Amino acid sequence: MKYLPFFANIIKKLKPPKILSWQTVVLLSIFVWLTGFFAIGLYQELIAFFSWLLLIIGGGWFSAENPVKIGIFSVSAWVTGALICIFIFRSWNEQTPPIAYVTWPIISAAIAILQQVVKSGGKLKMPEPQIRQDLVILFSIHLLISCWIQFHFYIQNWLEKYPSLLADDFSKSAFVVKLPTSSPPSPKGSEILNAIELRIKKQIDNKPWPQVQQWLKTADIRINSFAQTAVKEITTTAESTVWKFEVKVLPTKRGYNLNTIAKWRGLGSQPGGYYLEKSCQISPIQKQTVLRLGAANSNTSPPVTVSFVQCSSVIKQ
Amino acid sequence: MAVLPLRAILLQILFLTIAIAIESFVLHRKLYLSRRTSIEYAASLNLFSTIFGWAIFFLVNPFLGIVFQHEIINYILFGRFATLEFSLIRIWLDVVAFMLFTFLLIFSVERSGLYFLLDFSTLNINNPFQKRVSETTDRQKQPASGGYISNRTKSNIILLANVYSQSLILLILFILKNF
Repeated sequence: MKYLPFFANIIKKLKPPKILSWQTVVLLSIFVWLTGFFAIGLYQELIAFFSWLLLIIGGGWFSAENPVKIGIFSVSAWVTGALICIFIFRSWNEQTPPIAYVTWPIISAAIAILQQVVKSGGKLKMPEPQIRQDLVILFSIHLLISCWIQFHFYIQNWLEKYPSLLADDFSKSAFVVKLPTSSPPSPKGSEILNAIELRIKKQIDNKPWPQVQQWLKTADIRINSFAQTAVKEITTTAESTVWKFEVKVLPTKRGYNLNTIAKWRGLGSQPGGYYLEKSCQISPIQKQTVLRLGAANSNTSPPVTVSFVQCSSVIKQ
Repeated sequence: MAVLPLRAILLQILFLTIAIAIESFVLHRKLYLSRRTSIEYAASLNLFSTIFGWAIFFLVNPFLGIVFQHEIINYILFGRFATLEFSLIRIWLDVVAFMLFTFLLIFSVERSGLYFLLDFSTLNINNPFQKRVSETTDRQKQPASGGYISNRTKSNIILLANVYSQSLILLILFILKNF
């Protein structure tokens, strides 16, 4: 019951003092919105449209009568601007498009200026020189804020195109700061190398040794084709041209060393780019053929030499 | 996705403040404007040129080749050029040419901006499209000699103001970069 005065206060505020007032318009918009519940399909869209339009007009009217300011920023103009931006670039389900944020300050400034220029009765009036000069600065500052927001979206766009850059060091930049995140991102190259490892293991782990040796002769071509498919799956098209792959097969005392290297050249804080490397040891092991239940007592089946693949985790150099 | 252009915004605010302080001083001394008016003019002019610079950046960027775009991305995100395709000398020549271009651009935008502001402050209230040409306003005090300030003098003053403010900003940038 203690909320009752609160609601009573709202109702008192919303009660129109006269027929032509912002309260009337807002109440009308709520009423129109409520009727939307009884409509279907296109009518519902249409009713939502008008309800929103009335809300914007009512909000604008309210803010013109009750200006709230922080410095030169008119809070009420920003609120009305937000309503208009949502109205124009409305997409209820998807993400708000960047253009909505970019135009928000400009629209807010336009509203703040309109409130100075339009006098009661709907007449346009040229403000005094001093106010005009203030409005020039006000509009310029809002435009500059729009530029900053646009620049922010430029940076986000670059990072979407080249997601591996997120793993880099931004401390030398004069433009951006990287806020600490809970999980430090790793370059996409290590994901690609891990995907390649899986495919290598699928093809040559636990396989007859001579077959594996044959496979290793053409390891270069095979792994490069793995890399091409993995790159397409894991990163963006812009980034896929920056990753370069190299394969090295080195014979060791026990089998082979298969090194797969992902090179990142160009963008980044390090002048020469960097390498990501994964090395796999492929060694032959003796394996008893599977003993069947019936043949448990016969020792005649000879041991077979099969491959054993063991890979390190990705090392950055 | 938490890479924000906060440094750019802070640096821009710092440089705008410096430029406005210096240029308003020059405008006050040379153009015989009141203190308040000269600060307002300097603020407007510097905001104009800054916005103009951003507009050019946004307009030109999509048309640049991939190599050039990589240089810009690398410079903005990591503070260095991706010097694989271009030689260092070539890049620094580009940088010097770019700074000269920027200077001239700021100068011309601010000059046109000053003409605009002077016109705008003397617009006729009842008929906005007709300028009050003959009347002098209280906002623009005339020099003691009684003559009016020619456009040539105005642009000289803007040039001087910009040389002062941008030299200081370059010096600050140099200090920030090296110490």
